[in-house]
Amino acid sequence: MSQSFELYLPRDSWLHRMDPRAKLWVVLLAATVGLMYRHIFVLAGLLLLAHLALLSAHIPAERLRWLWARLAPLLLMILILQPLFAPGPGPDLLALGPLRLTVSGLLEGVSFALRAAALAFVAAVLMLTTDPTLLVQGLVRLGLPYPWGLTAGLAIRYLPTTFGLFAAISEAQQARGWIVDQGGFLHRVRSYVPILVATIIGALRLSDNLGLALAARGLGYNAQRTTLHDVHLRPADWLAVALGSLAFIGMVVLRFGLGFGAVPW
Amino acid sequence: METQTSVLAEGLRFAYPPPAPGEVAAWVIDGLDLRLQPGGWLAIMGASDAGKTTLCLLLAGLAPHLTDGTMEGHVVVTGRDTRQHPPPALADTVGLLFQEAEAQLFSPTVEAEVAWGLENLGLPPAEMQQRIDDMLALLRLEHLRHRTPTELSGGEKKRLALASVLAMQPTVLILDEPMGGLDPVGRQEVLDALSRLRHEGSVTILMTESDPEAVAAFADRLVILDQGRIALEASPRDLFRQVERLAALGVSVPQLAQLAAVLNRRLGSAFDFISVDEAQANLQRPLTAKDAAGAEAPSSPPAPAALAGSSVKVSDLWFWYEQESTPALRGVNLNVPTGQFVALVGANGSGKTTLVKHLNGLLRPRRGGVSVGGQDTSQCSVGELARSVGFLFQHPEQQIFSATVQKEVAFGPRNLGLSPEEVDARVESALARFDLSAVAERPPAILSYGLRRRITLASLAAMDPPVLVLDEPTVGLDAPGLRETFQWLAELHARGRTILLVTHDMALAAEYAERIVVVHEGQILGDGLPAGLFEQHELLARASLALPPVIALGQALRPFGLLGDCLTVDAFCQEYAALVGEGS
Repeated sequence: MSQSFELYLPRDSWLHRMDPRAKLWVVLLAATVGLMYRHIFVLAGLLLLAHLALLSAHIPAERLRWLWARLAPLLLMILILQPLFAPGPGPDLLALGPLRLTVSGLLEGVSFALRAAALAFVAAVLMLTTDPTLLVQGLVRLGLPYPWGLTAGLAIRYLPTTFGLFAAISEAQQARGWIVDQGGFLHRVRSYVPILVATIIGALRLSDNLGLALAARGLGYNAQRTTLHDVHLRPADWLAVALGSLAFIGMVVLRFGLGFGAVPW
Repeated sequence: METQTSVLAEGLRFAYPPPAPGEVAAWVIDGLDLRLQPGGWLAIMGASDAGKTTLCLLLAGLAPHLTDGTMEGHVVVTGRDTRQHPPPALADTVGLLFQEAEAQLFSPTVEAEVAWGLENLGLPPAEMQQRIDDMLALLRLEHLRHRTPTELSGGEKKRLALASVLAMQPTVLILDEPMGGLDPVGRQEVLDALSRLRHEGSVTILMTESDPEAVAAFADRLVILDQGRIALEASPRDLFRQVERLAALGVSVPQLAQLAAVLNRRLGSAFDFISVDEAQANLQRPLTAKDAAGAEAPSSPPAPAALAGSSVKVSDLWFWYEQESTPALRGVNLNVPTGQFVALVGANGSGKTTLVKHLNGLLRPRRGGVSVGGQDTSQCSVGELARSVGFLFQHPEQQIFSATVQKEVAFGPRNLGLSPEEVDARVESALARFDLSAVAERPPAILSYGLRRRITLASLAAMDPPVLVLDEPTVGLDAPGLRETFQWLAELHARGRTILLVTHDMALAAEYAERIVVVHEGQILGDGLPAGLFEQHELLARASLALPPVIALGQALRPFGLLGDCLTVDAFCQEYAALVGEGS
């Protein structure tokens, strides 16, 4: 009855088949475009593109809604705080004491929120459709030592497990009458000690056992490590890299050569 | 020269590093000799602090290389001394299945999990693919090939871990508690997997296991470990006759072996059986077949008498974890009178745990209502409900966090807002009840497993809640721990406390509960007195529950005049003795 916290969704699609290195490259370029531009149309376009990519890779719409729900508090905060605290030039739409609301401030808020959402979904294109094993392998091919790649993979793998441990222990302590101290920040932090201590002990025990399990399955066996599914760049991957790079150059020229997109509108 | 021996341990002693400077390191393995011939299947049983897991780590060559500590004597696995061969160098000859699934499944897909070890061995992709296909077929995992290991059921996880180890084609396979923590469905899956392994017969197996039925089914030799030494060694059948000796060593025997021992003591007979079939053949001999009328089940017993005042009342409870997901509970109605001992039984995922988590507000009803001691739980915080409902979770030792035993036990009562004098008095009496006064000022983290388990019981006792919920308390509990826990529960029950036991151990439910509630797919499928419920074979099968052997045996002997309504070994013995005539 536990919930799954896994990111990667195994499917059979063009995005899943794409070489992780090629995908990483295109995603990095797309993220850079997201950071270069403040124009609402460009950011909205990027967001739309990420959605189309995910949907075409058979990622269920439910998962996209799930991600939106997780992002909602952050986006809402940006939408509210950005216009109020950085109102920008232009006539006031509304003035409440020191707080001013302007059209430019509002647009700025929309632009920032769109950028956050676009970056999250662009990252999701990589994370939801890439087998972490292949991602690690791709990185190793690019020169990353295998133990580093393995460590990164394991860190991602065990985040949800540690979170689950935290939740289970917090339930156990609540059943013993534990409640969060409603006092100041320090009181609050202190009241988490019964859960944090037990979680840390549990996580350390888990990592000890994981170390044993990795060794028992031959980590560091005296042979050249092979891989079941080799990653290799197919013509389609090169095409994706080429098209992505061309589009990126186009966007750089548009932004810096023609000066488009430096403002939200 | 030792080519005939798969595993050899001589004069083996091992101690972990002392918990704190100045403390004395205790020998966990203390002078052990073991020799295992190729193709054998050796089982190791013992109490939880007997050193079973440590022995597994030593024989797999992981200790002392990765655990630190002091080792004396030596271990040789297929001719390789583990001192000279660090763990990676042994990976192609010895495989170890760990107790905990969580720590050994770390890959994103089932296929990648099995592949990982093979990649380390440097096998060419084509051979890897072949071995993966073979293993997934052997362990019936083909349909899960692209699934994420964390999403699998308990039995599937165990089988995947086994596949990952077996794919590396070890000559020696070490299984640490392969049945541990599995529900009846998972247990059956793993039993099937092990019997296919037995059938293949190409690998030498050493297995620690607490489940005596599994040991009896597979092992050809059984070693009883006690305080790091071999206390007994013989065939499982021979050892399981020594019921009392094994009980003293913290080892339980198959229920029917226990029955044979009890009958033999009482009747002076020489019964010798482990399985229901054997027992039936043995026991029906002194009896004569009655006419067909005798073979019918007794008329169903009356429903439990309504006791005054209900302690727990659940009405039309619906719950789902996420919108649009299948509801985990679908219209559950349950009324538990004050002072009743109820067992909630059902396979994993049936909704038992989801149901009881509503009793102390860890979950809130999506629809319907729950009240405890007359209080509507929706009006109370979890903290307030902790006064009324105590919880014992699986692996309760994981919640221990305090610097001293005394502080740990005081944590609950203090949270309840009791006066310092009251807290002290409760803690003192709880420590005394569980024999912990001597270690009151010691840090729990360095105490033995048995003591830490008692600390969790004392912590709960000090809170003294009127309603007590136990969620699968048998998981990870050895025979002495089980005895201790249920002795205490019997005391509480006698004092009028209400007890809800969540379990899939039907023998336990039959022995202790006054009433059994069968939970299946989020609904209550059956509810009644244990004797009546065990007659409903179809219902039990639907809920993936099996009859405890002694009950199945009683029912099988109905044509010979037994009523077949005995729930425990003692009750069966009573009735059987009366039937054959005491002492005849």
